[in-house]
Amino acid sequence: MNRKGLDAVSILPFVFLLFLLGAGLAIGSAAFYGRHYEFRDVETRTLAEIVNRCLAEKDFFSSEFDISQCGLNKAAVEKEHLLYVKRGDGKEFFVGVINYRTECALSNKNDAYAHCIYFNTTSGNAHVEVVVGSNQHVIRGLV
Amino acid sequence: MEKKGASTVLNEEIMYYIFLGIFLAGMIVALSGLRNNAVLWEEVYAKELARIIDHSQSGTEVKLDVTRGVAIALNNGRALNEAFVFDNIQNKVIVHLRSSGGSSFNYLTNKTIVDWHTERNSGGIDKDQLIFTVR
Repeated sequence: MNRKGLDAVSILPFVFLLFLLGAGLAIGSAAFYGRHYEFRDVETRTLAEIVNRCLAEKDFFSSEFDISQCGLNKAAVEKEHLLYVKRGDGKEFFVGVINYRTECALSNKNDAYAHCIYFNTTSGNAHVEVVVGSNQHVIRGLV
Repeated sequence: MEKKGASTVLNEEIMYYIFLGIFLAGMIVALSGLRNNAVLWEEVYAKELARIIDHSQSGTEVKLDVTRGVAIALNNGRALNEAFVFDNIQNKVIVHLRSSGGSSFNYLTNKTIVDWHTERNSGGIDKDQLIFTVR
């Protein structure tokens, strides 16, 4: 009768040991294998090229404008990217995560922040400031 | 009474084995993805394919050497036709090189990928090619 109670309690240290072993293996293998293929700068350059080309042809501040007119997929850009355009008169246009504007300024301090490119160009006759950024990571799992 | 006691001890032993089994199964699944660097290669292929798609003009036929990826996928028990998949609805490249699970990455442009397939060409050196058309 005592044995039943004793074993029910003694299984907890066993589970705890398994947890410790699992955590150790997970941390060790993540440190060794958990490298990422850094791609945010490349992706940001791609986005900047597309936006720069599109700014020369389209009016981003028109009410009918949509980034699909630049060949971009809005759903894909919205989630983990930023496309921000500010005209000389202060008018702004953006698609994506606006917080990335703050992250961009701090990306050299924290690698988890979005990687961005800033550039100036003209759209129509107006001078525009552009910020494009990406913080897209690969999704791992049951995909 | 003795029989009942023996059964309780047996049940407790089984519980230990069940916990151990769950733990080992979890570790095997987690570590199998790391074999052959499959997880890293999934990420490399997913991101580079997204870049190729974003930079391709409509109508471009792409032929990409995926010999390394195919070798890893087949070694992990994956079928050839499920290693590289394109989701045109969600704009995703999906790569399965591990025995279970995979990696996906969004491409940014409004492109549709058609006629994708992987060809195995055996010769002096195996060159497996992923072939698809960007529309």
